[in-house]
Amino acid sequence: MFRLVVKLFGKMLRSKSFTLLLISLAVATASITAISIFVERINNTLYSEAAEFIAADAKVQGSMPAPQEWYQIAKKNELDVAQTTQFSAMIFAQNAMQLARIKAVSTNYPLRGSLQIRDAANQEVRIIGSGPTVGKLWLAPRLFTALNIRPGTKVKVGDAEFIAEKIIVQEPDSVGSTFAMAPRAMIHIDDVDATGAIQLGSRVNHDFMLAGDPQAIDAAKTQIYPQLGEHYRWVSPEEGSAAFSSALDRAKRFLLLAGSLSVLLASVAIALAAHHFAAHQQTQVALLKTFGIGPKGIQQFYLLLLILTGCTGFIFGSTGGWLLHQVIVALLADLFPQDLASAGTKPYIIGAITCSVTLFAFASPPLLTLKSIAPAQILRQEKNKGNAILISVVCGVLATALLIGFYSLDIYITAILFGAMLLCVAASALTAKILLKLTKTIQNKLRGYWRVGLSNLQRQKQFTALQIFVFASVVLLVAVLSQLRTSLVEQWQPQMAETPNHFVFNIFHDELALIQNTFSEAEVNVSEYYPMSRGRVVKINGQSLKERIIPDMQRSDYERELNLTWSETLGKDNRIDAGAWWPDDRNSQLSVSAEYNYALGLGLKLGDTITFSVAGREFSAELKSIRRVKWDSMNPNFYMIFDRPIADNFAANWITSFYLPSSEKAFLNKLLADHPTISLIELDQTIAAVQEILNHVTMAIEFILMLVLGASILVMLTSIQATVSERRRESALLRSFGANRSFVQQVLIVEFASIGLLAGIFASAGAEACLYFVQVKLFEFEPHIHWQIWAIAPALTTVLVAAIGYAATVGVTHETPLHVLRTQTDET
Amino acid sequence: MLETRQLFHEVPTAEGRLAILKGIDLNITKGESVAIVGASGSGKSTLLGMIAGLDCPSAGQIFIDKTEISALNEELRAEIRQRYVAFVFQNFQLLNGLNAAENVALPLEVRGDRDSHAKAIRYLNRVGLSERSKHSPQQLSGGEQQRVAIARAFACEAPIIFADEPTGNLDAETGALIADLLFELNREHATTLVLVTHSSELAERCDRTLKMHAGKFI
Ligand SMILES: Nc1ncnc2c1ncn2[C@@H]1O[C@H](COP(=O)(O)OP(=O)(O)OP(=O)(O)O)[C@@H](O)[C@H]1O
Ligand SMILES: [Mg+2]
Repeated sequence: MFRLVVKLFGKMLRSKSFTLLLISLAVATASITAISIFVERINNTLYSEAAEFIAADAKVQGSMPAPQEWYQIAKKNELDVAQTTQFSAMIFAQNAMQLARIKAVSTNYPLRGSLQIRDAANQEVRIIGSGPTVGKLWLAPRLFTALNIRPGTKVKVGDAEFIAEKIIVQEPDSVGSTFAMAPRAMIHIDDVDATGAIQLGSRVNHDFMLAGDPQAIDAAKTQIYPQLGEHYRWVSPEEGSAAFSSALDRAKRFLLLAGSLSVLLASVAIALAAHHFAAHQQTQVALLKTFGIGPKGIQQFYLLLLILTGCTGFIFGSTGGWLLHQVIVALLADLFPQDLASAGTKPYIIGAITCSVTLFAFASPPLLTLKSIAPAQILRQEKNKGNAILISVVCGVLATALLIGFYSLDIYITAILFGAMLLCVAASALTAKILLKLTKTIQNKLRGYWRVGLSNLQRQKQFTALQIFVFASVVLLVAVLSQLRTSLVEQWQPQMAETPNHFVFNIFHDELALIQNTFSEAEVNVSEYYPMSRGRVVKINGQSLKERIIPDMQRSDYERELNLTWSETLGKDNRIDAGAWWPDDRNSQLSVSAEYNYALGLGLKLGDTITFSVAGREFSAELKSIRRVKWDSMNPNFYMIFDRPIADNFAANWITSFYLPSSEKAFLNKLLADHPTISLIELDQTIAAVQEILNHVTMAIEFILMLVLGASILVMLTSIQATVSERRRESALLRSFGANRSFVQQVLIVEFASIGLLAGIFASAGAEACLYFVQVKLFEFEPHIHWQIWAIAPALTTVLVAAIGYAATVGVTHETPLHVLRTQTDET
Repeated sequence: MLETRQLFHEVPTAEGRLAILKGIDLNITKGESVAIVGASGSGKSTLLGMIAGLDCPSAGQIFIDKTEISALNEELRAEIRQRYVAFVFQNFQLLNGLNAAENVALPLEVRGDRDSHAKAIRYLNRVGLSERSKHSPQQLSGGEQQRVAIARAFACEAPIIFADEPTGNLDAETGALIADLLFELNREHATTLVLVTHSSELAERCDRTLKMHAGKFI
């Protein structure tokens, strides 16, 4: 049997339908592998870039130094460790002094990323991998100005003497949590004690930083996490900053989605080719049966053939995928970081699994049902109709859902796409029944090519339905993806211009007017001012947080101190998700509004009574609304907003953010000189870095969209190609009956255009449904009707399918009918 | 060698069930040559396929070499076909992907014959197509295709050859040549021969002629 299969395999390579099957398999595998390699490399690169934001692969932030035990855990897991200590201290120069936030770093800081420094104001920026040595002090440029010193000058920090050595241009982890103060001076950690600046009660932050193998990091996390308690918090790169992580998260989701969609496209191509191939195998099967091969033998035969096909497809596909991704990387070389992280073997495994699963799910139903073909079928030229299409659609949809699930590991994506597929299947099946009946009525009133063209659709109901399904899903996927791309890129666009890039806080109430004045004099664009108090949630409906949240990894996130505010108006970047913003006639009960994800994490419901603890005082408020917050607007935003002051206005601290172009940095000196007690965070570098990553991601998204588009055109071509031989025979027959060439061509156009129109309409409906879920639930965009899709998709699909179909089959009309009929007896 | 008892066959059609065979009793001994004749649509091809084990009757029994093949499942029937049956189809049924020699060799491959290619060439020679062994069916004329189909049946060297109008597309001379060949095999190897034909000459050369009309022998 094996010998026979191998022998016939070679022969089949020459048959069109089999080659089509193999090519679609290879192309499917190639595009998936290429996308996976690409996504994986981008993903890995993004991850390592994200790691630079916290200067490590993970870190523990705490108000106390990390316990010795954690160092052992790190050592056991072969992780690199660094630590930093941050505190405020006075820096004294000859004739000036300045309060600064000091960051003391260990020798191997930073574990990820690097520092950018200047040796002197007029020197080039240098990139170095470690911080100051003992006795040296590095300062932000503004501190040099404020202290009126130059590099090389002796200064004192607290009690200890240092040489102000270098100018810090950029440090990797200057972001931290948005409201932590950015450090402006850096010393070696061994000098901390000498400064004597850390007193009982001073606010000190300790970072325990880790770097190494992702698995090792995970292992360390599971060991350290349970010990975190109230004083420590685990920070991973994704949490580095809210804006950054939400962008990264969206990007990942998009790439996953694109990957999943390419799986869908691949499946469709394979299903088509396999169905076509199987249809042409019927004669051969019947013949082999008359030679004495039983059903089992036929089964084995096609199983072997499938395996052989799978192996061949995978070899070509993975090689092709690798080449394809190389081409991409080469093409976009200057847009990506030089040292794009490597992809590992995962994409190839994904390719292999996709290759075998799709092949078996889509190609085996038609091929493995061949065994039941009666040998007597050879006596008459009837084709076995059977329910192979139904089986392969059901099988295929299930398998695709499985694959997408496996590929994205995201139930939501899987559910949405699965639903969309089902919708398409149902719609197409319904069309086969209803619309084809309708065309029958119409068609009886028609003449000429309209009639023949529409009756062609009738004759092959199942196949027409399948083809409509294919085109509809292809157009649907492309529409969804391109819409998403547009939304994503638009979403990121506002971050380009005039997004606030500095925060000021610790503004005392009596200073507020003065500060406002300073800003308006300098014509700086400032966002809202918010009063701010720090406090924590202690009880919900009288139940303590400890009882309420299962002691899992998340709890400490909710037990830590929050920034609380009160406001009459809802910020422009906030949207009410549930409940209502404060009514005009408020009752005496204190009301509060919670941020969506925070409320979700705590399981808060409208009407809950939440007890807060602020500065040692406990009080309760009723939850009146839940808000969605656009964190990346870079305006001050809060998990909890009250409807009235919770503290005396005069005791409150105010916070705001503003935009300052880098050319006007000098304004900061004036601001700090006039208001020495305020705190300032400069986020401009962070935002620039985030922007750069977003640019990469946009590139990746655009590229993947292009790949998916290419794949979908291929699917369309495959699908039409599959019908070419059928149409050759038909049109030859028509011509032998005396139809002229243009009649035949018009028949073809009518046929394909109707398929395209129906597919376009279904695709628009499907895309609308799909986008609603994807955009609203997955990406948290505002829902809206995508009228562009409705306007463009049906028209474009009609033209495109008619054009592709016409182009692929027009050659048919140039051969003589005799030649066609002679060579088209039956294709194997 | 070949026996049927009260063979009935019906197929479902748009106008209800259509009876094609209506009680066929048949007994063919080993080495015998039998011609089945009758008007077009009388059910000859259906009967031939049935007794060759390609299809299952609606009722009645079929025996090949004392085995009741009508009672076997498809798997076992396939074994019987492999052991006993060679078939020449009315519409040839050559595979376009394979050339003439490969088409002839195909049933031999199925039987696991290591010598398939040489044998195929030999039988192509016997039907006068030695020059055409590398041609694909599309490149052959109708008569040439028929001869390849016959060579394929011969190559099986099966105890029973079923041939549905084996000379239908051939000129008198070539037809006679093919008929010679058929009877030669019949004599040499005591091959049983069951033919369906419209040619009275060919029918006359057989030991026996069975005449069919509307699904029955008359
Ligand atoms: N599966 C089937 N479905 C419907 N009708 C069938 C089927 N099989 C056979 N028939 C009908 O049974 C009749 C006998 O068919 P068969 O092919 O046996 O005729 P035949 O005697 O070989 O004719 P010819 O000499 O033209 O080849 C025909 O009328 C045919 O249409
Ligand atoms: Mg016949």
